[in-house]
Amino acid sequence: MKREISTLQTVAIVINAITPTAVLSVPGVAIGFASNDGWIAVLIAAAAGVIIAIAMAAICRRNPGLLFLEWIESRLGTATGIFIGVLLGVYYFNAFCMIVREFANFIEDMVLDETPIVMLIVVMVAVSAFSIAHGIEAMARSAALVLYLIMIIVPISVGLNFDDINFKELLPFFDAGATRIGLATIAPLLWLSEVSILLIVQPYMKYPKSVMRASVIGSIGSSLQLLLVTVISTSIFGADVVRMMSYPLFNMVGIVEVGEFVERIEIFTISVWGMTMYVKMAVFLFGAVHCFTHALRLKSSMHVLFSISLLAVATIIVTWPRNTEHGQYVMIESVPFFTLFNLIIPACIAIGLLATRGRGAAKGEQAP
Amino acid sequence: MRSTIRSAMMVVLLLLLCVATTGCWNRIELNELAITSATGVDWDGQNWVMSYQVLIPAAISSGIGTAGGGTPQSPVIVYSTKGKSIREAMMHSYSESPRKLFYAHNRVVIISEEVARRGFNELLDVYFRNSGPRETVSMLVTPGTARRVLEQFMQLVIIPGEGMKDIIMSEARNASVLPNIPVYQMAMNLTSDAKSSVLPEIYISGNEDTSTLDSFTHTTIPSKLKLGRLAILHNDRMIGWMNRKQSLGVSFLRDEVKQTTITTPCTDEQGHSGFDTLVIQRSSTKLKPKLTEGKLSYNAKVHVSGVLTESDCAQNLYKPDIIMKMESAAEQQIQQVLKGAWKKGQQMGADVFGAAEKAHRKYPKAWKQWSKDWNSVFGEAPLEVQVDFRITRMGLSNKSFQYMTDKNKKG
Amino acid sequence: MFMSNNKRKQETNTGRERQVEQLLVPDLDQNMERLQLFLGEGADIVHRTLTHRSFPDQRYSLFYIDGIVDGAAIGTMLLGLLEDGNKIIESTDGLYTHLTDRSIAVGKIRPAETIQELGYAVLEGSSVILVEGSLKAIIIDTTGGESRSVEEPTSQTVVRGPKEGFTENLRTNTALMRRIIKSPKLRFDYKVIGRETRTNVAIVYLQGIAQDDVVQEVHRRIDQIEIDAILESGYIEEFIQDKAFTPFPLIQNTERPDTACASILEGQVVIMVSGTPFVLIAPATFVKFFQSSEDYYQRYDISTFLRLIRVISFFISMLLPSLYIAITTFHQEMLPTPLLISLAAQREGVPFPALVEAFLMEITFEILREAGVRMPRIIGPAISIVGALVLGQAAVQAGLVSAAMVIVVSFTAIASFVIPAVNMGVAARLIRFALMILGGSFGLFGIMSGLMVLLAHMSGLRSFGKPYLLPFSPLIISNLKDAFIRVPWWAMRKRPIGMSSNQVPNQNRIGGGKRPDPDQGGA
Repeated sequence: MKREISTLQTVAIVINAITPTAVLSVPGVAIGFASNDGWIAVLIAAAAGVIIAIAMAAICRRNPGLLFLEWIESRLGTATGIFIGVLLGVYYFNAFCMIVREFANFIEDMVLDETPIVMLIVVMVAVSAFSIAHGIEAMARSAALVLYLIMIIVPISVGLNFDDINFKELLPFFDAGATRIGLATIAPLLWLSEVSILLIVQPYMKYPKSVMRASVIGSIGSSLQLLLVTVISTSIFGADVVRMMSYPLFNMVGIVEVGEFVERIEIFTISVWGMTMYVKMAVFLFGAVHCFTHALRLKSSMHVLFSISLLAVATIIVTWPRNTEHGQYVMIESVPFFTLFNLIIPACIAIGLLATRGRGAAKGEQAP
Repeated sequence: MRSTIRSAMMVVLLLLLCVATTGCWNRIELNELAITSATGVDWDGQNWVMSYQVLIPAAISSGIGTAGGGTPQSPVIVYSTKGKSIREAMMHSYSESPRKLFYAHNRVVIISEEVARRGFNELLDVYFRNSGPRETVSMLVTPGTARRVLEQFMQLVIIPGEGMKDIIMSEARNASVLPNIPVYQMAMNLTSDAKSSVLPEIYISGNEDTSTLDSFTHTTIPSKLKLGRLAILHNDRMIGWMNRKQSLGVSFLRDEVKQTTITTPCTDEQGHSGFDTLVIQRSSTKLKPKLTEGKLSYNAKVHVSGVLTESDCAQNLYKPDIIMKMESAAEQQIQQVLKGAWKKGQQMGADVFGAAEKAHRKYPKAWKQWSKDWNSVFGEAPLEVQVDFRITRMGLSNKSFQYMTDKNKKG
Repeated sequence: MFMSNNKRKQETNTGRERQVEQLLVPDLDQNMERLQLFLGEGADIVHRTLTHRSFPDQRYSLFYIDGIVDGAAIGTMLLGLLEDGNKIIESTDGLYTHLTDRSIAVGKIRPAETIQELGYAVLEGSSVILVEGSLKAIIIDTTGGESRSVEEPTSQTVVRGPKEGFTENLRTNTALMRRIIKSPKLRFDYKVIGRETRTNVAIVYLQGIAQDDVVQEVHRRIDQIEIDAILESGYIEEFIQDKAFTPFPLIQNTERPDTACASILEGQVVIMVSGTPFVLIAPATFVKFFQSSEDYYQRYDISTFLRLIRVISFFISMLLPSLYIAITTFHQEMLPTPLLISLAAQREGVPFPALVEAFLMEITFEILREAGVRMPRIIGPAISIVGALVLGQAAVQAGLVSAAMVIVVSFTAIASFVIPAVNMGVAARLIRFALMILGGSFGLFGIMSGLMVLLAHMSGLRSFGKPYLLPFSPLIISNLKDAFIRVPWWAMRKRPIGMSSNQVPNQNRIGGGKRPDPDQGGA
């Protein structure tokens, strides 16, 4: 295991692990609950997200340099370690399936409506598997490059829409009432809690101590993007129409008309955004492969990668025969799922680690 | 072992390659498309009648190739299909057209007055749900049938659909009497607090039929497409018309005036009365609600700056008091226009001025009360108008020509 | 030329080696016989037996192969030997010592003790003197013969800059480099590779500036090569590349001494191969293939502009056909309406779908290009103009392809020539086909997936340990000054980080504050 990932690349991984699907579904959900105060909900979630990011980083800092699962095992016992490993592996696998399906649904809706979804899923899983075949540092480099791309494209897209933005649409504030804003906060918060990927990635960092910085910057970066999309789509379309849209980001880009020839270029933004989506899929697949390989003491991660990819393709096709079932899954069933794995389990791990603070050193000496 | 994985990946790759040879699912060649430039929506009492104005590329472009040259061909072709719902009507087009309809370059959708009065929520649903038709399409309403409008040729433009969009854009930008309403704007307006919207009208002036290529061989066209009045919609349906003057007032109150021209009457020392024409180049309107003793009223502050482009009264334009006179005349003119529009809106019971949103934003608590019956609240709210007109330039002449001739007459 | 079965050759070779792995014996005739057995009976093998007046019992014999020796050196040496052979001197040393110390009129000599060593030396162009009664023989370096003079390089031409190019002679090449870098840190490590060709290979680097582990890695990889013939540096390139299955080149090559020296000065290692003017430069990162030496001779503003053009051309040559196919068959909404109409009009009579049309045109172009390489120089330009223009025009008028496709394909081909390094252009050509298939199947989504695969692949590539995408990821901001733009010389203070050694602190290449300013100093 080489420590090669720079801090910037870690930030890129975090941002790309949260934003792509979040930017797709969060504005719709937040605005659906809180109409023109959706952005307030996102702001609150951002603040909470930073707190979660700090908490995760604090857990990571205690890691003396081992891989996450090895560390858990050394502190909390082998059985617990394996159990957590398998659990996390299952979580990442499920999350991977969910986001691949979401991406495939989106592409089908927007662009390729007659292509069988099997083909799209196979392509996506194959590309994600290929990205991690070279190891996480190659993927970190790709993530950094994709991040630069996003930093160029997003301001341009916003700038092109400038004429249509009317901030008055955001008024009046707090119109929706505290309960609805509160409900709207849940979805962005859950997506932002994906920063727990840092637990797995941190041991590969070149400077493990800067994980706090990476975590906070990553969380803020994602929140900023979410906020931007929410604010701008509300201010262009008004709070009523945007509730109807499944993908407000792309409606927003779709109405750009500069001069007579730059029109209908949303597919270009989709392509760029699609690359961030691929990075996210690769990150989650890596999480799954990593957890399974270490928890089950398997020798070759290549084989695990291959088999998990095949299993993923099968799962995605079979579990959700219709898009609506997936939509419902994302809205309702994923809430406890995410809460459990991103909030509760790290909390349990933190408690466990606190409890066994003294044991770590002793166990290290006794290990063969 | 690695070679096994590699060969497995090869198999996958080969399967993917087969994709290219059998023809892919979403692929459609350019010569399989029927490019629509304008759509018309009619209602015949029971069915939706969709009309399409389809381009014939070979007749339009003068490029090299096998097609082209020879007999002149019409650049567009129009046909209609019927169905119980809009998409069903579109499906029937497959029985008629050898090519698949392609809506992405559609520029305008013309709805007939019947459709407007019936309500067209289905149309908006189609536009938002499908990725093909775009939400930036301009909407226009016409008193006759939409199909007739689609069949009309226009002067100066080969593709009538583009020409219609160009007309409305040019109008919105240069005369600002009628606004350009794209589909998403319509949707926003209809779901907003006031639930009212406007639509520009397009009609055919003149009687003769100009759907043959003959029209291009003469210098004048006997019948033309023109923009007319403003249609007012409330609660998804059309309820009436506003004339052009009132429509200008609506534009002012919505702060959508970019450039327009007004004429103010003037009289000079000889008793000769004529008109001064001013081109307004910049205008901003602030419409503010005011709550005094539980009663809602509105105050509109208009800042306008303009340029004199024509003057018919004998006057020396470099005298400040002449300028002030012209300015106050213009201000009065604008005031009248705004008040007239407001009154008409109140009469029709349609708040197309965006007054509801402003009230909601400023007085959210009171809004909860008002929103239950906004029409009556709005109907009783008076409007005060304050206009500040500034004539920035006089143009290149410093005296009106009438002045010169008068002076000569005198002696 | 052909890689034969290594194992088979090995057995017969060792058999023969066992025969002549023999030390010299005092008997001259036996030595000569053995040497002649080793070399064969060629008519160009010259041997001459001479005597020395002062050593009446001892003969000595001179061997060399005519054609590969420097005739003037042989003549001078023979003259010296013959003149000396007539002298009468008092000596107690013996003929061998006398010859080595006082007679041989050539600079470089060395002793040898086995027939094999002597034989190989003769085959390289040295002459050999066997002395009777001595267990050692003298190898004299008289390598020479006809070879090409130093000319302007044919492949990498510049408008401004030196016009010397490497030749096939290793000695000339090392001399060209020595003339440019006169530093004592310049090191040449020589190796011999290839069982039958015994090609001389030189590894050149600046001691202390090149990273030691890179130099060692280069040595290690070259030492591992086992092949019977090395005819060109390309053979070595394929052996020492980091990764076999990549379209991207991992090692640069150049024909110009100034390019080679510039890369040595930045910490890279140059590998010269005798017999070819193309030298290898390793390690290589992605941006290096877009830099030409002319960038540093012209001003920085035009150089920056041209570099950006090259990068854009690279992407055009890779992406343009696939983008055209994807947009015109999947995403027609992106086209402005007038363009759509004229494209649709052009397509009216064309029988093939866009993907097939693109493939046809691309393959036609590749055929034209390959034919242009082999055509005699006289007919060449005429046929290429005829081929490109007339063929394209006629095809459009016959209705086989649409005019837009001809434009796309020709523009792509022209863009691919803009890249200074031909091997990178080749990578673009190959990737183009894969992207065309993806674009034709899935539209822009397919192209984007292909680009993602490419990105992941490039991120994982390493060239001798250096990440391939070096200044961009991992991000080294100070290196970006010279990546796709070039800042003026007075702003490039230090060497690029990552390539050069960490031992010597990263010295300033330029003294401080050298920005041109006419007001500096006295008037």
